[in-house]
Amino acid sequence: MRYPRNIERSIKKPYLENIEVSADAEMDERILCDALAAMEESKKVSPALAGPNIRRTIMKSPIIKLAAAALIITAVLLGAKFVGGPDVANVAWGDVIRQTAQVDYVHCYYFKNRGNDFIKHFEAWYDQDKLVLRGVKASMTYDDGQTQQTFDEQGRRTVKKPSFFAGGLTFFEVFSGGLLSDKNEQLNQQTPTDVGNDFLIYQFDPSTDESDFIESIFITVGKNSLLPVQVKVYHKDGDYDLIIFDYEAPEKPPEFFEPPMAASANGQSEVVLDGEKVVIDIEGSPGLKQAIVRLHNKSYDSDDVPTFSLEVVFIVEEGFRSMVYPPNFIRVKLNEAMQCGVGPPTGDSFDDWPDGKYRNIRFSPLVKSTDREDTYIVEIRCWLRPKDD
Amino acid sequence: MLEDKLLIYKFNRGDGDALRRIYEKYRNDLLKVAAALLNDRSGVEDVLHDVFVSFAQGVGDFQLRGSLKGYLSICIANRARDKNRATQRQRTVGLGNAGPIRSDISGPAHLAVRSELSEQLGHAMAQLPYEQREIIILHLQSKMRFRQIAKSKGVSANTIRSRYRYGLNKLRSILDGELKR
Repeated sequence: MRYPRNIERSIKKPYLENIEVSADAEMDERILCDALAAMEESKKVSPALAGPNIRRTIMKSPIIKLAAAALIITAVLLGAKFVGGPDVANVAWGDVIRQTAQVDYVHCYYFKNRGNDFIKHFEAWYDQDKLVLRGVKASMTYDDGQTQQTFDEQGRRTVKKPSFFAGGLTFFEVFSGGLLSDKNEQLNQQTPTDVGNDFLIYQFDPSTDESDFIESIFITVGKNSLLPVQVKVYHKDGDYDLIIFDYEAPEKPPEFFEPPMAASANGQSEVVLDGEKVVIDIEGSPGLKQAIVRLHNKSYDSDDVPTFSLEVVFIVEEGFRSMVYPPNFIRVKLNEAMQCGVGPPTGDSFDDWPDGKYRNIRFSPLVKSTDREDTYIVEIRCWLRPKDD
Repeated sequence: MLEDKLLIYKFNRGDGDALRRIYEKYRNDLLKVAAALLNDRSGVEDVLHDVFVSFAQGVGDFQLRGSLKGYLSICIANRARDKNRATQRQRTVGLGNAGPIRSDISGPAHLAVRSELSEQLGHAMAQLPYEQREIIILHLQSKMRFRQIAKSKGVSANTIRSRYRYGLNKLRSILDGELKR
């Protein structure tokens, strides 16, 4: 046997990858039941559930000093003359949040500055409770307030699940990780740190759970509109995230709001719950011949949505079988789809098929109900992802 | 990360669905960490259970430093260390108190290690001191930076790097010895 030259790689693959861990639904229920009970007990003891502690930032870091200086210089160049004053200086953050609740249309860019790279992470349009998000590699996400669906650059649906806004969350709550929420009274009382002719600038310390990697957060708000126009999140390592909002001239993309029809599945079959494995013939996906699926361990999530363990093994054109992915099962919810990937049964990489050919199988399974209680339709959308993708 | 922030925000307001989502999101990764660190793998469910119950008790004022996955992985590693110690103590009790030896692959979570190399790596990993094995698993499986691990352990990043390096060197020498035999 060959000595593993790269020990770290060997630990990751095959050692860690080959540790198969199959958790069953009963174990999940046991643990979650006890954890939820513990949470309820703790809530009784401490009913006042506090929000993040926001305090005024003491600017110690030279990076932050530079960043703040840069922000002020930029504001001056834009013609924002900081004047200060008792009236505008007292516009509380809660007023801004209340104003965002009135918004029907938002256009947003999200950029990441990483070293010398300035990366567009996504662009999103939100209009009348509907959202379109254009992400990396031309992926598109459509959210109609009930369901979100993501399609890859080839128009293949890779994700289908409940809306971002399920549970009554607003656009701003979702895209600020809760910072732009009216539920934190302490945050709501914060007043601007700088006041100009056109802008108010609010500066927040990161919450305690973010303070390890985030230095500070600046939010620029239009003085008349009281709507956020820019969020800048400075990281401790010098990188930053930039989110830009606008609310006028709704130049929505042609895709708004016309989600493509999800292409037909490459294969589907009725599968009996806790029954035998079923072989599904794959069509329209070059290189893939069959998928062998088994459905078991039905349980219910907190929203009473049926959830299953799905086993999938692919057989490629040349007859080789993939590994079972992920170790023995995928937890899938009824009528929800997600993207998964699978490679050869053994080995370190997607090249380790018996014939040495690269095969990276991507697939998106979907379980649908039938009129029989113990029988479901399993749809498989699948494709081989090219090596240089 | 955005989702985690939102989940923690909701969890701290007593949202059970957020707790459930956190569990479902990280369960498999954490089971793997536990399986890689426990001397007796039948204890993985106990470790995961204890960590989540303890985590749930922190509702309302839970404060996270760094990533949620990293935090939970550290909790798993700490519990696994305690469990290993407890198991070690049980194994050294008098013969009169000795119970039946439990299978390594029994229990609600079924675990198996495939392939010759991964088996050898498994044996070699089991021979490492816990503090070295722990750093290797947290770094390679949980993808935690040395700085993050160091902060959670209250030691310097250089100490963590050294433990990692010593661990890898020892693995190499164990594997080398086995392969030469």
